[in-house]
Amino acid sequence: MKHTILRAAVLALVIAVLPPATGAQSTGDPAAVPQLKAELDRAAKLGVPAEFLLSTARRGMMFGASTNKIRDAMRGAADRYVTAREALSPVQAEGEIGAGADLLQANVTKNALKSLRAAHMTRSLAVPLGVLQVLVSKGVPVKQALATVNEMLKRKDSDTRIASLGTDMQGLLAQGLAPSAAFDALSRGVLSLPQSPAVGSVLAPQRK
Amino acid sequence: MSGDSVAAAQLLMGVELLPPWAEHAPIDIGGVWALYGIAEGDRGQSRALYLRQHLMGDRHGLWVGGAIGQIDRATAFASNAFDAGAWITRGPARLTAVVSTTTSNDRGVFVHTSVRPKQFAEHFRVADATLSLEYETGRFELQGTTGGRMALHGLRGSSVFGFVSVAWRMAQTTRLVFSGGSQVADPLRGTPEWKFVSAGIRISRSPGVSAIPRGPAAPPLYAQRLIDGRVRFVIDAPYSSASVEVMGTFTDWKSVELDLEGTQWVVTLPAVPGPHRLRVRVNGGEWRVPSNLTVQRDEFGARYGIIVIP
Repeated sequence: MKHTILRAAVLALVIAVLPPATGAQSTGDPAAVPQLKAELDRAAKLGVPAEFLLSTARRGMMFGASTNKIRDAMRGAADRYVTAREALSPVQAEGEIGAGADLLQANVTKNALKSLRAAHMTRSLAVPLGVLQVLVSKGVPVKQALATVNEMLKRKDSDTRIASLGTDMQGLLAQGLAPSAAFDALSRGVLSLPQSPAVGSVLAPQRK
Repeated sequence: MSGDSVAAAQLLMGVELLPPWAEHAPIDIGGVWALYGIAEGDRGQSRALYLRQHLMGDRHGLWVGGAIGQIDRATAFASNAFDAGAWITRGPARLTAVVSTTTSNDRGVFVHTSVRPKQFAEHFRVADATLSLEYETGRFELQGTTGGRMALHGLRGSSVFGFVSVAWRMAQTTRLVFSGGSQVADPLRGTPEWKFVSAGIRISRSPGVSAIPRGPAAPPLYAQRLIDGRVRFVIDAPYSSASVEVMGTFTDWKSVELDLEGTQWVVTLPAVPGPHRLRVRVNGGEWRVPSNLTVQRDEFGARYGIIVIP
């Protein structure tokens, strides 16, 4: 029994300090890996900024993903960038295309992005698209989320007001409301408020 | 040090290892070595090894585990135990429920207890159920535990127990812990049923890291756009933390350390309006998602939080 416990303790110690068997690389410059460099070159021909793909590659490297998986992720990211750029043309602000690409990854359609752009040609959609991403990931139906955000844009609500939709949603979900109930409550509340004047850029976060 | 109704004293030392690579399914590996002496002459030592497999969500989790132990007195006695537990957190509070069963051939540990050995029995088994509430406030960690034991084999009777503890965070790596109450006999460590009052010092290698996994959520993070266009990020980590870091799309996924301003951890960085992905790390531990942000998984299966900055 004594030897059994001793052996088990040694085994446990070895397991505890053994480094995990992970992917091909964990640090380093993605551009230095030939397969990933090839993806960067491909994306450059499509007009996708290198930094956009390098961000994906760095995430993959941090997570210890294999080179093949990182390469596939970079290819997917480049394709989504191109699709988002087409859907959101003419692009109004930095961050719009990235936000659009994230939404495409969340299975929001290109047509949904196009319709939003068509309705709001001159306003930056980076924040509304980000809020859409939050709502959809919380289980709000795309159509419903899109309708509410669209309505807020039509009322010329500020980015701050639109961003608070995502924050308030998180708060209601944390209290145990189902996504549909939480969003219904929020939508009614938000859309019943009078339109706000443009808010200055100094904001106070609402802490719960 | 503790005493029981037969004037025993013992010294307990424990160590716990938390392998860092499994974010949602970490493993607890622990060992305890105890020396004890009883005024009536019985002396001995015990060794126990614990293993628990956890499965953790943002604010809840569960585990299954087991332990083996050996007690050396005049004769050697062996024990083993299996347990399963679940926990849920709400803000600074955590509720934990545990059920376990312990098997032992140590008759002596059950003598002088409420769950007594049957005549001629050589093997014993008990079932325990425990409910524990923990609460953190400022520099203090409070805990109250209650439970019951039922005899399953070789024993008769049942008992209830309960104890409270207060830990005072003296420094980043040191806690002073005061406890008191009653506890059932532990065949794994050879400790008798006892009423106790104890004081101890808990020292951790990583400051501010709980010895028990508390789930993947990091402290909440807030963002505020300043007049100059940059964004002030504030993380609600304890001010006694040794370090707080953030990384995300606005840092090119490079780790950036926050500074302690008063009681807040703060950093000001440029960030374009729109959605940003990020993770937070406290005291050099695992990268986690702040508790107030929406969680998403990326194409690599990694979790990150989304914040939309106007």
